[in-house]
Amino acid sequence: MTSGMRGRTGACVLLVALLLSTLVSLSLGRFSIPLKTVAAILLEPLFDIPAFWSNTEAQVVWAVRFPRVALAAFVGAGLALAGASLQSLFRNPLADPQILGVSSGAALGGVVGILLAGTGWPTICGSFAGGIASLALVFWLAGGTGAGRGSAVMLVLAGLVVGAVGAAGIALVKYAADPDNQLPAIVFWLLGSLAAADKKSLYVTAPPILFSAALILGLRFHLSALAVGEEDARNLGVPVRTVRLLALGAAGLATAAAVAVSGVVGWVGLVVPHLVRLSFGANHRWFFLNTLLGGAGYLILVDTAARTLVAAEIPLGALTALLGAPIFAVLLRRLRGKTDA
Amino acid sequence: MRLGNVVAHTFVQPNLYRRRGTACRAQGFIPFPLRPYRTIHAHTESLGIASLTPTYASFCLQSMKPKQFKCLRCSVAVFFLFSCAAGAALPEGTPVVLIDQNGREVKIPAKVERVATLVIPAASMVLALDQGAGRLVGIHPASRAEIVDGMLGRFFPESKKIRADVAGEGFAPNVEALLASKADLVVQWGDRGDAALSPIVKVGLPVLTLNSAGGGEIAAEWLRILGRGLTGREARGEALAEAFLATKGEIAKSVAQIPESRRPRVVYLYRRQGNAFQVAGGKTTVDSDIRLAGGINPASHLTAYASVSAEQVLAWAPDIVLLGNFDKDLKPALLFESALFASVPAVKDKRVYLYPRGGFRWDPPSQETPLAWRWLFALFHPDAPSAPLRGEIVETYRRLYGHTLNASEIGIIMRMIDNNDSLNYSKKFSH
Repeated sequence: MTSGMRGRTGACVLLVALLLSTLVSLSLGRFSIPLKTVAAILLEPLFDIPAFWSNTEAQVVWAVRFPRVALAAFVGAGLALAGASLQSLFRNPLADPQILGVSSGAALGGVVGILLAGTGWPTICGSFAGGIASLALVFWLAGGTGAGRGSAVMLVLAGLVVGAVGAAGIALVKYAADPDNQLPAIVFWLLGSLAAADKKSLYVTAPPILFSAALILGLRFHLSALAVGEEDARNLGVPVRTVRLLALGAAGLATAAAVAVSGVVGWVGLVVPHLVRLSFGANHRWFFLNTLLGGAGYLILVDTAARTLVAAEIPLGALTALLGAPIFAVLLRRLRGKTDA
Repeated sequence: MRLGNVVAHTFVQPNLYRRRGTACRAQGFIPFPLRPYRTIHAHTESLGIASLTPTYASFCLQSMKPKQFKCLRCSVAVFFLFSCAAGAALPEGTPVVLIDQNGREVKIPAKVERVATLVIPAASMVLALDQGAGRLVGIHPASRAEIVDGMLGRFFPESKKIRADVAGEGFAPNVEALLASKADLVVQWGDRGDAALSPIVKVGLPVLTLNSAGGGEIAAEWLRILGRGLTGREARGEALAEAFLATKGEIAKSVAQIPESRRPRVVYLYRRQGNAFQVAGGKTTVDSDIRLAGGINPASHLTAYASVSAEQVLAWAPDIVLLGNFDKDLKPALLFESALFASVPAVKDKRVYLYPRGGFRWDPPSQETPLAWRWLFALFHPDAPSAPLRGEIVETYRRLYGHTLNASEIGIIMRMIDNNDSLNYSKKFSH
């Protein structure tokens, strides 16, 4: 099987998996609704089905579960794509919005937004500014993308520094926040959860993530070329500087939009691209699309577990870390094997 | 100097004064003029011996009133029986030993004049015990918010100016601010970790600790302990605590007559963000208040203020929904207008109520908790006989703050406007 065929198969498999996980997630919840009813409620706008369900059931499916599942899909896709593009951009398998400190920078921007103006759009604008600023800082600290073999370590260290600055800033903002109103909102938001998802949060998140996804998918050939090497990419006619800026911006925007609605949900950008690469190869034509589909499906499933296992919400960030850390550990082992050789 | 107090008091060990586990004020031991007393300590400490020099002893004895002298003499006699083996000498010193809620022995000055509190409700309790802001010199920022946004700022306008920088996030003490406030007694949580407490202890400030875990009646114990800490308010603290617990007994008695089947299912919403709600789970004061007032909290198997989805609230199908005072956007109208909640019994029957807020919010424990219990009971069991709440509020406020409420103030406390559409609210509580 050629890598292109493998990639295409991957896209089909992942698309089917995404649809299935969406359906499963929509039919699960603390308020029990029979599967048949859920299906009927979902199909009702398309077909003329006489309503045999209660208004509450329709409300639960459309006003509670649908926004949440859609939001999980957007956040998962955005974080996974951001991770994949950062990995290509930095030619570094360990790049991830959280490890690079971008999530924490975006979180700092978000809490500053809450402090100055409140939740909603100020949060997303602040998150975006914080995300991009910390990405630029990491980029500068690590000495760009062409630092050679040592860059993996440099990048992680730079991310550590930026992440620490973000965490310190968050602590300061929490100190300055009004303990009665702002502080609880900040704490709630930082918990990292999709529990608050409603239609409004969907409107806030979907456009920036769709935009960055389109940008990254549009740049997928250039990014694949960059992943091989800057010189090679230049020889292939890739406008390196422009591509780098656009991709960085897109990754920052996607991360910021994800952070703005879900707080810091880590590891998705690391785990999903690697799983996709392992299962369906890194064919430049399909890799980014597969990452997008995989990321969406992955986070839908994890979030479904977070909201249905017990009555109280399990923090989503905790679950993704629980799943992500072992994979990161395996990666580290592999990387060490390479450096030792 | 404070260390001196502590050293001095190791002689006057509390086993002399502690009766049946409660602290007793050593009022008889305030005879020494302040300056010589302090000098004695510098001196005895530098000598490293636990005795008074003869000169100072005679000076102090001369400056005593006969009654004080008699008291001292008796105490000395008793004291020797207990501690001659330890080689200690004359008892002395002005400080008083209290036992706080964690069983710690706290040595406080004989006359506490400046109190700082990091415990949010303790600020309003000190205002209530003193019926004035004269003694309160430092408070938690959230206490300030409570004073400014609630009623206490109206009753005691000077309380709005009390410095509110003594506590940071997680009740972390700002030790320098505490020292700058010149507090001679600090009130802090005793069950929120050592980091909240030890920095204050280390700089030598006496800290009275309170515990946050427990039902609403825990505030009665706070009143008692704070009353002992505030010189001259012990009896008042005791009386307020008694009245507090009497209400509890009264409510419990009324509730005992109501069969289990007639107890409503009550959910308390603390905060909302989109479709996520924080509800009062088990081990919260609200949970225990609901139970006391004869309700059933379906969320009691969760821990603390747990975050749940709107779906979970639907699944619980509560008969009554209580809205907390902490989220400004959480009002009965929000639920009444939501299509999602339309089928919930509480929303259908318009039994969604916003907690009142007076000298303190009624949802967390405070000196006003007995009123909260009465309010809950009246809402849970509208047909059961209960004393008119308005009268109880007026009486309680007179007792607590020395303030006679007018009708519009009661309206503000009871949230009459926000609760206007809720079942029977204006009818039941308008007189």
